[in-house]
Amino acid sequence: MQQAALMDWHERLAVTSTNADEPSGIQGMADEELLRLCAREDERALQELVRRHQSPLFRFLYRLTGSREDAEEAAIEVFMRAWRNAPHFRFEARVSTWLFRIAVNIARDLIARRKARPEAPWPAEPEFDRLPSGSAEQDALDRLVAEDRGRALRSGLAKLSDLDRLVLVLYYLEDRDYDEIGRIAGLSYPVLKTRLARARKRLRAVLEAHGHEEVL
Amino acid sequence: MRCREVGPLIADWVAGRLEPGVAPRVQEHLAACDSCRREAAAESRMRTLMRALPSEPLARDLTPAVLARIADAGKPVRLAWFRRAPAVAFAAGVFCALALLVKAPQVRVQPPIAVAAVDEGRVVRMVADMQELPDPVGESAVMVPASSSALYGLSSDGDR
Repeated sequence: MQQAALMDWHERLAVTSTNADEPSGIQGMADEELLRLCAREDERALQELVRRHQSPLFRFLYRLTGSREDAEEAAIEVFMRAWRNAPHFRFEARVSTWLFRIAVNIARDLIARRKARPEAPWPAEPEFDRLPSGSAEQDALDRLVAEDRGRALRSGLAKLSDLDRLVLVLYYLEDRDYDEIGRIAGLSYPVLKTRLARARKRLRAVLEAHGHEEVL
Repeated sequence: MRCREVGPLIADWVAGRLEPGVAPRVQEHLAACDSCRREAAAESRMRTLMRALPSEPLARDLTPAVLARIADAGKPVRLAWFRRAPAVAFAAGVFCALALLVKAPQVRVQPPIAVAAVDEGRVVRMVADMQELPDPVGESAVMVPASSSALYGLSSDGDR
């Protein structure tokens, strides 16, 4: 069984080597194949991985850190680590899950460093307050209400622990299933379910405590 | 289903994540239970709010920055074993040389076994010899034994 899997792997690697010479070959490859090429120091494979995953990773990191600069820097670091550790990837999880897991570790370090510097707390009011402008009065009113609610929600999220914020972001914003959230956050299924329920309650409690009952 | 069974499933029901066999049972309970229905409504509002948070688009392509950073850092080159052999041999040689240097001061000349055999009487006589030495320099001169060989019990003064 193992031998068959090994042969299959070698065959796929051979196919990969042939297709990788063509530009269109790289673009048609699965993430796992690209990572195998990264392990052989193929920079074209890395470029393709960056092209595919930079936007979701940036968005995710931005929601965790609340800072554009930090999110960009962290995303670059994710790809650096992926490039260095590609030979050690065991293909037990999806590549995107692995990248998000790396991103979580980097974001944790970054947030811990920021907490250690009192002059740079977690930004409660990130830069993403901008909404498309409308000309109608009702649109403007709706926009103000939405901005107010969004501000309250971000402020509530900022007051949660890093882990609570992480599981909420993965569940609500990234639409990841429980298996993936567990792998990314490093939690077992029962612990994750409990943690998610508690995080929801805490977020509601924070919003209510700050007079935002109308949000919920 | 009871409230305590439905409670943990409400978020997944709102998100449409429940299995097809479970969702209708939850819905049936919600239709009959005000408390759980309120909980589902609150969860629905929170979900809507969370998902309404605008996402910031990535303003630039990160590829050049990633490639530049990798070029700066440099990836550890994986050498074949035969290419690594000279380096390993050199490292082993340096290690051996360092080990010898560290070991050298610890090597001590063992005194002859005869020292162990020196009896108390001979030690007393040696001290007496030292005291009888003339003082060519003065009182500050260091006392030395009459014969260094006496220290090793090899003197031929007829003690044996």
